[in-house]
Amino acid sequence: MTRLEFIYALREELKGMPLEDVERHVDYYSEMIDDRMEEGMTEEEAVADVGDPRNIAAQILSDTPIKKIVKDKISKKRELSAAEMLLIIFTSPIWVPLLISLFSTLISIIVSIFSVIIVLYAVAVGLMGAGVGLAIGAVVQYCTAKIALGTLMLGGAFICASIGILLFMACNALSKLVVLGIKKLVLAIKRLIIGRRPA
Amino acid sequence: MDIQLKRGMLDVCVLAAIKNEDSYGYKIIKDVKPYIDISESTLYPILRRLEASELLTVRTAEHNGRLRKYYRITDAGRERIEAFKSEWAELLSIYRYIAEECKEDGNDEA
Repeated sequence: MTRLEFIYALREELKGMPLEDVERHVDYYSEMIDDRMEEGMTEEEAVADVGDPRNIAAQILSDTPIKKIVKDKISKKRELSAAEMLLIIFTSPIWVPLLISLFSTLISIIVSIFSVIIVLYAVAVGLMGAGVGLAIGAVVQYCTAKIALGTLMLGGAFICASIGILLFMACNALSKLVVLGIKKLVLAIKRLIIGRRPA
Repeated sequence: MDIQLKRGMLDVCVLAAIKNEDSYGYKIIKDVKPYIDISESTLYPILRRLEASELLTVRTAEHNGRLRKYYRITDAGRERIEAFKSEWAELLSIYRYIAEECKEDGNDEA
């Protein structure tokens, strides 16, 4: 990728943000490319070293508070006609509750996902506890020479413990996935606000 | 490293990188990178934040026929470094206390 292609791609990815901000980011990254080339890198190497414009734009958007994005968007749309303003105000009984319910639905979905994870963790820990308990029980049975019952309990202990450990590992993976998903969701919402198609 | 801790460290690292002479983006990254993980995209918000809180100033100057932004530390920026250093002395004494206490624990068990 050439320097110009990089700049074009970055500008394209940041489309919808205030022009002033876009230019500042573009200047910053093109300076970084120039400085690398001055040090002896080829144009191709310098651009590759700076990174992929898509990832850079996603990082920029993640770093921009959602408050600023909304504010920029609103102040940009100040040139609304009086009729449009009236329309927005008169239709507010429809869109305000809609927006609120959309938002609360989103929150409740996230909360329920977290509760499921917490429950799964509890089950995993419970199973591991049961495994330990059964193992202790097995030892007690062996001591009193009840070999059959002891072995049964030992088997149960292994089953409980292994399922518990597997579930625990699955929970860890799941929570990582959920955190990643929420990050992506926030990014998508930001993209939507600045008026870009969600990637 | 803890993300919150790293964030505070990065701010001071960047200030330290421009403490003795004005510097520019790529040089700051090269200077700081051996000690703490930093990239273009992490540096940008830090510079903006430090500029907004007036810990550094930015000027644009010509360099080899193009423009380059140079960052200069302010007095408030120097104070920030000093504040960090004194906080660190405090943290270090807390750390020593913890290490000392834990060592005694180990002896008790042994």
